[in-house]
Amino acid sequence: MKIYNYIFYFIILLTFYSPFAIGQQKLLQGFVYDITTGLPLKDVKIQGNNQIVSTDIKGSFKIPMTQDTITLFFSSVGYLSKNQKVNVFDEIRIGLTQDNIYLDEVVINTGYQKISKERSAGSFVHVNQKQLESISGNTIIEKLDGILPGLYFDKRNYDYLTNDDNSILRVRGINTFSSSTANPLIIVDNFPFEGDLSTIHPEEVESVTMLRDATAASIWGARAGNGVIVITLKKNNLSAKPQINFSSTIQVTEKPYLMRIPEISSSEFVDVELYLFEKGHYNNAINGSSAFRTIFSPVVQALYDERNGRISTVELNQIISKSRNVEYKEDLYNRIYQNRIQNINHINLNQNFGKHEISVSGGFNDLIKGGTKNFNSKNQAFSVSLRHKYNITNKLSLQSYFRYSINNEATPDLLYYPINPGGTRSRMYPYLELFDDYGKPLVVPKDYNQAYKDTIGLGLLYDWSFNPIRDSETSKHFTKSNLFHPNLILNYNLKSGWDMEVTYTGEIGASGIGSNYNIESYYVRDLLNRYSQINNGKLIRAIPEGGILTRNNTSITANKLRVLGRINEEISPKIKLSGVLGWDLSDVNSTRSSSTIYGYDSYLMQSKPVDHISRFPLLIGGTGTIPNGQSFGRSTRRLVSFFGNAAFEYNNKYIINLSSRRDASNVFGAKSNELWNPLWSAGVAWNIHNENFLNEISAISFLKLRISQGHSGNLGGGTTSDRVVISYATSDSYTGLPFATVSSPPNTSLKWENVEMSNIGLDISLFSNRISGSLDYYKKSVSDLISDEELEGTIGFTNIKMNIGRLEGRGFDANFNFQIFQGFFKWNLGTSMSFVKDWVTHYKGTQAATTIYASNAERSIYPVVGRPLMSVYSYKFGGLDGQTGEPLGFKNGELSKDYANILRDSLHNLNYHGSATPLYHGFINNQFSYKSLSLFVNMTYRGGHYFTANSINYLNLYNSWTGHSDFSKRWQKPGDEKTTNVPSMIYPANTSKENFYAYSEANVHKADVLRLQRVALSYRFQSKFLNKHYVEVGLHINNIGLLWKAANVDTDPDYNIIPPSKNYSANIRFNF
Amino acid sequence: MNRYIAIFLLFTVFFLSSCEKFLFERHTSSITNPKSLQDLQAMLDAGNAINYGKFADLHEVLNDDFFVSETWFNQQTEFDKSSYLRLKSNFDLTSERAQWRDPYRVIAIANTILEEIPKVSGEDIVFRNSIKGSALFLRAFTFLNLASIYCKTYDPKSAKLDLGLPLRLSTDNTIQSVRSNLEETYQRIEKDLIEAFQLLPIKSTVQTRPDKSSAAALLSRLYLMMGRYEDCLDFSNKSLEISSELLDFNLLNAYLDYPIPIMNIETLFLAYPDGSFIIFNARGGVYIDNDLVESYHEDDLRKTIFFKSEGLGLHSFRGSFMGNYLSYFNGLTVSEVLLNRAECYARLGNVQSAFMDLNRLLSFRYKTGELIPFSQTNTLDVLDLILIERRKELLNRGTRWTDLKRLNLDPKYAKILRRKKPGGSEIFELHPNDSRYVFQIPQSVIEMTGMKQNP
Repeated sequence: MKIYNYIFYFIILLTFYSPFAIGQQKLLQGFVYDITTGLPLKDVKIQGNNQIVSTDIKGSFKIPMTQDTITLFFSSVGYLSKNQKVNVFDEIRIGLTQDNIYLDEVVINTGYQKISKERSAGSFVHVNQKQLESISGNTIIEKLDGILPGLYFDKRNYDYLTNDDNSILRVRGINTFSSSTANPLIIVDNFPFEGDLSTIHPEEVESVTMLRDATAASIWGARAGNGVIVITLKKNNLSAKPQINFSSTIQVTEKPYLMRIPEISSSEFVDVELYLFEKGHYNNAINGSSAFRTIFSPVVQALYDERNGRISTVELNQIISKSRNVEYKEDLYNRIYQNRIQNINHINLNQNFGKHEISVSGGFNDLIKGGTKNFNSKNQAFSVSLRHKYNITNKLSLQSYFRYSINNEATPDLLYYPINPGGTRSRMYPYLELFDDYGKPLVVPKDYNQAYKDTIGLGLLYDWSFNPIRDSETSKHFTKSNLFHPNLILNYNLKSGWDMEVTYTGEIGASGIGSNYNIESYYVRDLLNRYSQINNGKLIRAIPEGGILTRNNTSITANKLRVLGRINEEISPKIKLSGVLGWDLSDVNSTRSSSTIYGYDSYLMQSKPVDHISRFPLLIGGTGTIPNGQSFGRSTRRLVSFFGNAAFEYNNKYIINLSSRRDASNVFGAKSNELWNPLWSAGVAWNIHNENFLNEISAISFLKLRISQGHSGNLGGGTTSDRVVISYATSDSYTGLPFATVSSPPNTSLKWENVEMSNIGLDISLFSNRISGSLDYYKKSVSDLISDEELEGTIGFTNIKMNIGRLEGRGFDANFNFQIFQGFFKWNLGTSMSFVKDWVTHYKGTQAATTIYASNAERSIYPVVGRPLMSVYSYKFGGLDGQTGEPLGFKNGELSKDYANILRDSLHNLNYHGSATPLYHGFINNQFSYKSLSLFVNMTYRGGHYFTANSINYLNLYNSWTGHSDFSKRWQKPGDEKTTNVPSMIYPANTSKENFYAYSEANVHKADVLRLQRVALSYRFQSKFLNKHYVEVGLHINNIGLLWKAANVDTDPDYNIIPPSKNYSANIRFNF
Repeated sequence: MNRYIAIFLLFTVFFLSSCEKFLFERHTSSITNPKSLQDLQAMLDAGNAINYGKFADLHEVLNDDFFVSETWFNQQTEFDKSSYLRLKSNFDLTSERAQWRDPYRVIAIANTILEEIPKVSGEDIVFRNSIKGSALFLRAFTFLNLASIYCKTYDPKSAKLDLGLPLRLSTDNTIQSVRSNLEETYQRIEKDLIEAFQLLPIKSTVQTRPDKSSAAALLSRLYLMMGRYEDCLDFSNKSLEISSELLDFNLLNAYLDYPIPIMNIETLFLAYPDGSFIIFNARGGVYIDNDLVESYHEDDLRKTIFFKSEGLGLHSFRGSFMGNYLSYFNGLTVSEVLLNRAECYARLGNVQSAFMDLNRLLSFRYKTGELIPFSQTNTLDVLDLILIERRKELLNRGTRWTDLKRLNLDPKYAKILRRKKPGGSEIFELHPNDSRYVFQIPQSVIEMTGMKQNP
């Protein structure tokens, strides 16, 4: 096996550099400290007597002497170097001054080692603690939006109901055909993090580094294909005096902007109903045999009642005019919803006791007011962590970190908008009345016709009515989770610059999601009623009386071990060598179980058994088995990796980086693991500012050229097996038997997807950091993409997965920082721009129906050669017919209304607009400060892409009551076609026509936007009295809104339906 | 320091020795290679991949039992529209999947199971035989389903020259698909079924699993299609010896939307096709031929159990053996076997027995005591009568098209099918033995394999 070779090299390397024997000499001992803080400095290089040594953790060093006096040269990153003549008999205490040029010097954590940015050829971007603290956010990832250059947040899955972000992160585009593996790898404290990132309190994060090119990322090998984000937790500046850091935030989130959802108004909706009634649209349904399963709105019901003489015309008109003026959305917004208030706290205590360094932190988040009035929602998160470093000897240290977090959430059945009434409708009619004139909550239609509900049961059934406001309190949805995260590092310092480290990290977590519906809830009453039979006036129930409890428990156990050796050696004063060599082992297990319990009594904690096997006749017709929520699952991901990297630096000018890694996993079989070649990368960098010819030009304080090339991998979607792979599922819908389906035919050929990236970059700093920044151009070529290869239909298996897809891409990342004013009044401008363009070059999989490209390719991956992975297509639109107001398309190049055939036209006749993801995106951040007062204004922009806006769909309007505000712009009379593209209302609606218009170019718009993301104002109290301590207060506003958009429609192209509400927070931070 | 290197090495060696095993663990518990007979049985129990909606029904779009409204017609795909009007048309992706790929996938599952049986553990020989028999049954059932669409009626005189199906008997996707002749196709179906009949248990616990009664019933269907009446009689008897119970329509609740319960005693093997949306009647607009509805006697309970009045003298079908809105059922039932046997008796001259079988069936369909038993005295021709009753009983049960095809060989029963274009006046005709009785194979399959297209 190849891995044996690595061990061999490792032994060679270790023996080659093993320390040389040192003769019996006088030893000079000394101590180096920071002149401003007085704290000991470690890793300070001391040269003299042809020796190089460095200080240990306590700042002390020993150097052999052959004479009594000698001049020693002290150097350390971030400090001014110093020559000092010393005498062996003196007590030697050397103070070093911080080098102001290096104050902003960035130390980057790749997850395997910390390196100075100056000494790497890789492309990194970095956000430090100060920047992270200047903005507010509930999770660390949320904070990075608009702050970390080149990181793109795709927010099109944002859910305004739950306020769930659901963002998908992208670094330099998408590098896989499988959307499930398209996320960047996230590292927390040196290991990939498997759990929920929201369990990490944002206050605990020290810095975030993003690894963009191959030299930076390929150390992470087969999982780095979509970029790597490294989160480093705070280690604290430990001093001998105890320190306390405290922060507290009150956050207010406005209720969702329901009024901004573009919908048809109640009055227009009533007009549509009158029109449809005239056309006889409801006749079949109201007279048909399934009328009991269909909900009719009060207006339609009244129209029939009036026709049948049950109510008078006057009464009908009263109902109609009343309905025109009610919008239940307003009721929900004004009477039910409220602003959410959250309290977020964090405290940290730390102290250095010499041998022991201890830091204790605690976080507590609490929901003070939930999103709806009167209903008790609970959402608490609590975390505690202990960080301890024990310097066992001068050379051996043990660092441990333990974190335990608990989240506890309980909510009633929240009244989300829109209410789904069932009964063949998907949305409630807009003029629903939630309250009567006295403010009493009302019964609303649900699932079946109310008349049917009232009569079918002969009074024996449970009340079948649905009162949404009352019902909210009858069920409880809870989420409980906890995570224990231990991390142990044993470090042995072999000699100066030589370390050996064994790290163990684990994640042991469990979470339970469930719902407790009590017997009064509509959910239980409805289910029990449906599974009932009335025979000879007697009621027989298939499901026992009582509540229903559903539970879904998952647990995760991750164990990871890493053994590595690290060197950081100056071979000669001019040549420096640093590197890492080691192996990683990771085993991530997750299990899942779910169940549904009937006849549940939450007070006595009792349940009743049910028969999940027999089929029972249903009251509403047909038969069914009692829903069985039981299921179990387990997944295991194991990964073994060998890695190594090395950096050579000559004369502080020339740098060579090499890295290599080999992974094996249990996802692809043993055969693929053997076939898999190591991933490698190489990079060179040239610190031009250290060249003599630039010494003359004082304007240039830093100039570095970087070139890198290398490979990283991606898991892709697929499994290998030399035999058929089957996948079990719980139970068959008719027989209730467990069953297995063929998930893939035998396939032994799969391996990792291969991302090759070449990068050329320039880092520059001018006029003593007044202008600084970096510019990167890259080229990526992704091959071996796992993609479906279409098989001939007779074979039976439609596709087989093969590594056949290919993708190309180009792009650049630029970020610059301008210190426009310095002094009392400071103005700092930070900008970033990232550009990425990628296109498929090879794809042989199934081609979907043309409509799929027009409807779905915008949000899901549908590869087409020559196009980006997510693209916007549309049908050519020929305006509206001047006589009828119907939309016109093109067939064989001529205007046509043959919608069914237009929809089926071939893909190359579709309009291709462009990418659905931005070609360029970035931010413009202004930081103003006057003395201790500072103002931060964060703006983001994205552009070059397209989106399809929603519009009116008459089929949905007629049948499922989903309307759109475009209705009022519809064509109504000849001549309107000159001013509108919205088709006329025609009955009956035609599915093909509606789909044609929905996906026609009339609804495609440019998606370019400029957004004001955040504004933050903060003031820091710092006086002589407080010494180095401070108190800081801040006011933040997030999600402020769009400043500009290219499209002339009432939609925010970045979000689904409506953007998130504004969120205000006030915070205070102490440091003592 | 060497001490520490030694420790490091020890670690490494320890770790390497367990590395292979460490990476052997499968990554998802529900995903596995078949290891046991139970695993193979679970594959057979995947109704959603086999019994439910995975068979072809293209032929049923052409039969003469139903017609559709103009509204419903206009909502259909071009493919369904032209099939309905008995015109040749090109498959779209959806119909190609439903009418060719899905049935061949069932065959691929059967082939997979046949290949996996020798590789899995399990001592129980009865269980092992039952799995093998089930796979063979499924393969035969699907081949027969496809042969009735893409091949001519079996005629012993020309079967060796007529085009058959591509007979895929292995999962190896490198083997080229080639069409066999019709003789080979029917021989394969017969051979698989005879073997299945020997291997299968007498009666299975659920009707989605085949057993001896359903294998014999399918053989009975096969021999009837081939015109081998003695063999048909033989296997009809074998099936009825095991299961002959009939559903008494007097005991059904006619007030239910769908009065016939799913998995009733008459069902021998449960299966339905679900490819052609046009014959799917859940939303209305699919009506049963008025003359056919009228042909049911007033005392015949099927008149109310099978049909729902839709006003204007139109009737939709609600007598599905799936107990729901799914109109077509192409599984096997006792009533079908009984009618097969009656027809064989009639054709072989045993008129007495033919009447007995027919009267037995009808006594379960008519109001109790209202049936005047048919006999030679009140009937002109027993075979005529049986064929009429066959159409009335097996409505929407997947046999009409094959009956039309085989009866066309006999000039006495050959029929010209006529269909009016919904909303138009044009009449489309289909003459007996028209080439359109045999459907075209999807063009993509022809292009990728080079196999011969039907005329």
